[in-house]
Parts: sequence; structure tokens; C-alpha cells
Amino acid sequence: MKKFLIIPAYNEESAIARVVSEAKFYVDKVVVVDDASTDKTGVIARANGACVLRHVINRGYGASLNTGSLWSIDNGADIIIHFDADGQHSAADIPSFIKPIETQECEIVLGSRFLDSVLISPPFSRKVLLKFATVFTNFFHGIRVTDTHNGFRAFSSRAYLQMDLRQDRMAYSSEVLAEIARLDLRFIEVPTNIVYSAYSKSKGQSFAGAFQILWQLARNRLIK
Amino acid sequence: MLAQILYLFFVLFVEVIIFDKYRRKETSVSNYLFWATLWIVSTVLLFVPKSFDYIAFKLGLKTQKGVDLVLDAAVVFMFYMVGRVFVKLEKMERQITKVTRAISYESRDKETSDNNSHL
Repeated sequence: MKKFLIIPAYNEESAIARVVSEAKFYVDKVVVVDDASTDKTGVIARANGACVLRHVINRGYGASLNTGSLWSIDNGADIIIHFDADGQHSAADIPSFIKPIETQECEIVLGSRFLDSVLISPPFSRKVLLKFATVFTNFFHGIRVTDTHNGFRAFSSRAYLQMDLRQDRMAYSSEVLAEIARLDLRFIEVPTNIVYSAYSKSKGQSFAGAFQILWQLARNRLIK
Repeated sequence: MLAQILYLFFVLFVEVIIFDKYRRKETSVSNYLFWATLWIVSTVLLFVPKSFDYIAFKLGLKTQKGVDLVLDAAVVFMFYMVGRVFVKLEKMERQITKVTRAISYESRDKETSDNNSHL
């Protein structure tokens, strides 16, 4: 089974080299979607062996993941893996992460930082925000997950193509869960460790961002 | 009285502008007729405020004046128009993303074929 790793990246020149060079040993192709970065993210990713797709204008996290995922499926990917560009995720986790899809135990694997108590706990404010998002998502979308905004996900191509994902920005994560629930796709959550460096913390969600996500989801409801 | 006359001149000015836009085909006939009518109705309301009292009465709003009815209708209309603008904006955002995606694929294809021709 061909495995493509998709990394959405915006101004990640300080972390992307390490992320790409570590990840490429575990997958068939690393696809970096450079979301109109103003730094050398795309150049550095390409120099480290990634296949780079570049957005000429910034379209957001969700749009970047969709660009990379659809391109990967068009180019022969059987399994697509979403991975953060800021070094929060560990590439060494990839083989065990995608094993349930390879053995056809399920079609989607979602990472969770709350499943195992030995995992590093996020900062308190981030934990509160994530817990609120989890309760909200579980209630409104009828899906039971423990971590709603973990960027580490894997899909079989077949499952991904069934999903109607339209959110361009951070609400994409919530939309993925809504689609899993709507289509009743088989998924499991696996424990994943998130590395909270000063750099990765600066890149994470804020409280204001949470309200933006709610607004994006509400707007999407009106249009659909 | 002076305010009414000034308003009348303003409405005439606006009517000329929107007619010019229609003449240059910058707006559709339905759009032109809609806005032209709206400005005329507002002028009638300004000069004859009681003209809408009959409509309010016929709609069963016995205690409401015609002017209040028009203001309420205007608020409802504005909410509707704002909603439409939001929907339009969202659709445009999605189309922009589609175009951006297509350009990224094309650039990638071009880069791949350039690399292959060098080999």
C-alpha cells in the first residue's frame, strides 16, 4: 500500500527540514503544501526531499490538507497521513499509527493526546480549550472522540474520497469528525505524543481561534 | 421643508447614477428597477408620511403607523441582504480555493516535466 504524508505548512522554515527528513523514511512520499509562505518553507522542504505544492495565495489549514490529499490520491496514494509542520508529531509513530488501516481494522485513524496518561499533557489553557471543543463536537456531531483537534490523522484513500470537506481553515478538523459521523466510517483513536516546544506552542490555537472555528462551522451550515 | 428638498435632489442624483449604470450594462434590469423603485418609494414616504398608514391598517397593524411599518420592513430586508452577502462571500472563498489548488497542481506538473526534460 502506498503511503503519502501530507504536511500543510505556512512559514515553517525553522522546523520543516527536520520534519521532512525524519518522516520520509516511513512513507513513500512526503507532500508539503506550502500555503503561500513568505519565507523559504517550500525551498527547504524541496531540498530535503519533499514534493511541494504551492498555493499562490494563503488559503488555510483545511484547504492545504485538501490540496495535498487530493493530489496524493490522484498520484496513487492508498493511505494518506496528515502531519503537522511544526515538529509537534513524531515521525517514528507513523508505522504503528497506520497499521490499523493496513490490516483493514478500520479506514481512519485519529491521534489523541488524552488517551494515555503517560503522554505529555498540554498546557493548561490549551487543555481547557481542547476539552471544550471535544464536548462541543461530541454533542453536535454525535461522535465520541477524546481529541478533536489533533493534526495527526490517517485515512484510506477510499474513505477520504467519500468525505465532503469544504472548510478551508481550522474548522476543517471539526468537519472531518462531522463527516466521519455522517458517513458512519470506521475509525479508531490511538495515543500520540505531542511535543510542546516554545515554537510549537506559539503556533497553536487560541481562545479567539476557537470562536472563529465555531463561526466557520455555523456559516458552512447555512451554505450547505 | 428644506431637508425634504435636499433629500429630493439627492434622490434625483442617485436615480441618475443608477440609470447610468444600467445604461452601461453594469447592472441588470431587475437590479436597476428594484433600486430605482426603492428610492422613489422612500421619497413618497418622506413627502406623504401617511401614505403607508392604509397599508399598515390593511396588514392588521392597527396601532402602527405606515412609517413604522416601512422601517420594520427595512430592518428585515437588511438582515436578509446581509445573509445573502455572507452566502455569496463563502461561495467565492471556495471558488478562490479551487483556483489556487488548480494553479498549484499545474505548477507541480510543469516542474515535474521540466525535471524530466533535463534528464
